[in-house]
Amino acid sequence: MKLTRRKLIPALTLGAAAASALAVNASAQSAAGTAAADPARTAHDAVQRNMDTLAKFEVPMAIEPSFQFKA
Amino acid sequence: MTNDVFFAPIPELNARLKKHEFSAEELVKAFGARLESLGPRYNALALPLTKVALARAKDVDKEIKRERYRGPLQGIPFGAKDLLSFAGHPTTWGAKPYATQTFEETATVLGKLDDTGALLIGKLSMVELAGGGGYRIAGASLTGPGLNPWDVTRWSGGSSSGPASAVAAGLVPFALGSETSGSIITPAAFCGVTGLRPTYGLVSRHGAMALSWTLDKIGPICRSAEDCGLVLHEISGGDSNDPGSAGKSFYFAPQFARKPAEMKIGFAAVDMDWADPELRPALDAAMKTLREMGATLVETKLPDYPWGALINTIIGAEGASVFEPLISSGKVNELADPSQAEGLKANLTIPAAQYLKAMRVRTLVQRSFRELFENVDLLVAPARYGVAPQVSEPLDGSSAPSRPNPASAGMHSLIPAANLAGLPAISFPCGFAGGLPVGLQLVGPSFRENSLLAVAIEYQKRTEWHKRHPSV
Repeated sequence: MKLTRRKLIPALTLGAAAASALAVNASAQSAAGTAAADPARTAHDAVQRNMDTLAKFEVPMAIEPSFQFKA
Repeated sequence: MTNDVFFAPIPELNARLKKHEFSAEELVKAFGARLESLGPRYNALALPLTKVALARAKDVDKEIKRERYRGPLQGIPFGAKDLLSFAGHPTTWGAKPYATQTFEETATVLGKLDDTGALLIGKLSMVELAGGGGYRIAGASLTGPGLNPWDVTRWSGGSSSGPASAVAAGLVPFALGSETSGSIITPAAFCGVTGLRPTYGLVSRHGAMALSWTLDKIGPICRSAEDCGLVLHEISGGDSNDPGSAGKSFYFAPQFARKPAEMKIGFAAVDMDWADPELRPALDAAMKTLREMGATLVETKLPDYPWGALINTIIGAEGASVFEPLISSGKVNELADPSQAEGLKANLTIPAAQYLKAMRVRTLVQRSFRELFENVDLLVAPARYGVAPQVSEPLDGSSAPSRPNPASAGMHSLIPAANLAGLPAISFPCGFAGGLPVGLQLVGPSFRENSLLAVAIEYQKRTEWHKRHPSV
């Protein structure tokens, strides 16, 4: 299923975390359609999709998280 | 008091106060009455504070009478997004579960503004929990959907809905908003005002609702870029109470930044294809103005990362941790948008390894931006690729007609990308499409707010878009 710009732009750029439950992959189109019917399912699907997307992204071992712990 | 006062820039109001054309007390009364009568029309007002401000205004007037000047914000009324605590008064975070919440301490930024003599006349509405669970409807707020003063059937944008619509409608001279990913830039663009998102860590968040500790920023929403600079000058600075504080101050001095004519500004031509067709004339004209200012526009490519997955994972994991007590108590279900409630619950299941991976990729993102800014001084892009949507429309755009994707990504992910890197941005009006404002966005390297402001100020010297206001 093709992701259109109408889906992609709001998902990436709405204020604060409006994006968080919106999908940014191929199944986003159907996700939006089912949101009203089953928001719980949609939200869990979005978390899973993000996990799948990040799983494909390789990060060298030496790269540490970007936050700092100040003691 | 004449209508022009309600849309006057900060320096003009301050000058007229000093000339005793009106007093701070009169200014507070005029703006306070306007905010209380018109604020509800746009669902912009969360809590009126005119009475509190009036008491403070009397002190300010005494100071001005004695010619004890504190700076350009002295005697200027303002509003603040209702995620900033103001001691002894409700701070709702825009959400029903927190409708009666009060704090004993005032947020650092509000304390700083009080020190300048600025006068808080109201708390302004916001998307509930700043949209922390992911919202799909404009009505995701304790105060109802933020309505756009240019057309009340349109959304004001979020999550700083009230600050943007109140400034646009002349209900306050300026306001404080906050941004985790888009919450200043978006409503500023939709409402036709100027919004500045500072570099992460430049402005203290002590006393503000947390959504994402590593992404949250507080910034001004104003009538002009100059006003944004004046406000940022006062609210910036280190704060040991904010663990994310960079310990840096901002001195508003755009005259010492590199001149726009000496700047290379990165853009993506394909952005015009991403933008809705009705926006293109305004965006084209804005790019032409930048060229006329002498800036060199350079075709630039945004680094390629999974922006949506990164920002959603980080906001999701941090937000779920912040609001875990709300989720476990079941009160999360009192939120106005079921998608928010379910989003927060689902985000509790994000694995630690996924969050850490997103944060590690973020390290690469920051490196990529550092490399990018070796070649250009700033980036420019449409602040939004469409005008404010109808309030009744789902915010995921599913009701809008679809067009095929352009060939490349351009800058359309600039909001999440620059937020992940902690970079500053400014959105300012650059025209209208179908009677609704269109905004242009500039992004710069960390702590280069003066560069952003220098370009935006020069742009606003050459155009009148920021001076337009809706019929109220």
